[in-house]
Amino acid sequence: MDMTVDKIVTVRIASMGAAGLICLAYGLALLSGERLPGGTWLPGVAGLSAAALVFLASWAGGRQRARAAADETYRQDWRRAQQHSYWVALALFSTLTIPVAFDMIPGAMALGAGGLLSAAALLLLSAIYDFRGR
Amino acid sequence: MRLANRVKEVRTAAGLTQAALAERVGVSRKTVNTVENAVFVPSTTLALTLARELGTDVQTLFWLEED
Repeated sequence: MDMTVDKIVTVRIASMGAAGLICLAYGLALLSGERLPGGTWLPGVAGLSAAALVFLASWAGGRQRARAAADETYRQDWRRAQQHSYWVALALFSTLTIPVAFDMIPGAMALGAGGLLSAAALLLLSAIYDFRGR
Repeated sequence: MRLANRVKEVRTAAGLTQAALAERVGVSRKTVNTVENAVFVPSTTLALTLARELGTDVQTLFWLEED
């Protein structure tokens, strides 16, 4: 399969988006006390799989196409996703201290959910910004 | 001040698609698209590379406009 720049970008958007959705689902499930299939390791595996897929797509495309797929527009989108997800993470952890303070949820649960939802914010914002303008 | 450009005009005159220009310059098609639509301000290196690949100079492709 000829891995063009557009295909590398499509793999990146799809894998980041999928990993983000898995993190979001598991973060929300953790907060609501529901059990999702696959166990708590699944978000980690999804993140590592996304990284592996992007690496493989870039490797298949070759150095020149990989560089074109990660050009200055992408780097700007990635920086913007990091900036915005930083504020999302601050808001999340600040908000989650309230139910912890009132003994509504344990601190470990809040920490786990906050981490998963922060990861989801970064991955999903990255996929959305990467997709915009295409 | 905003950066205006005539990349699309020069590109179409050269008979190039966005994808073809992107490949020549070594960027993604999105970058060419967003530069043409004045959504993305290119780096000096990219602006000079675009001008070189389109056979013109950077001042012809880009200029500043009052808002």
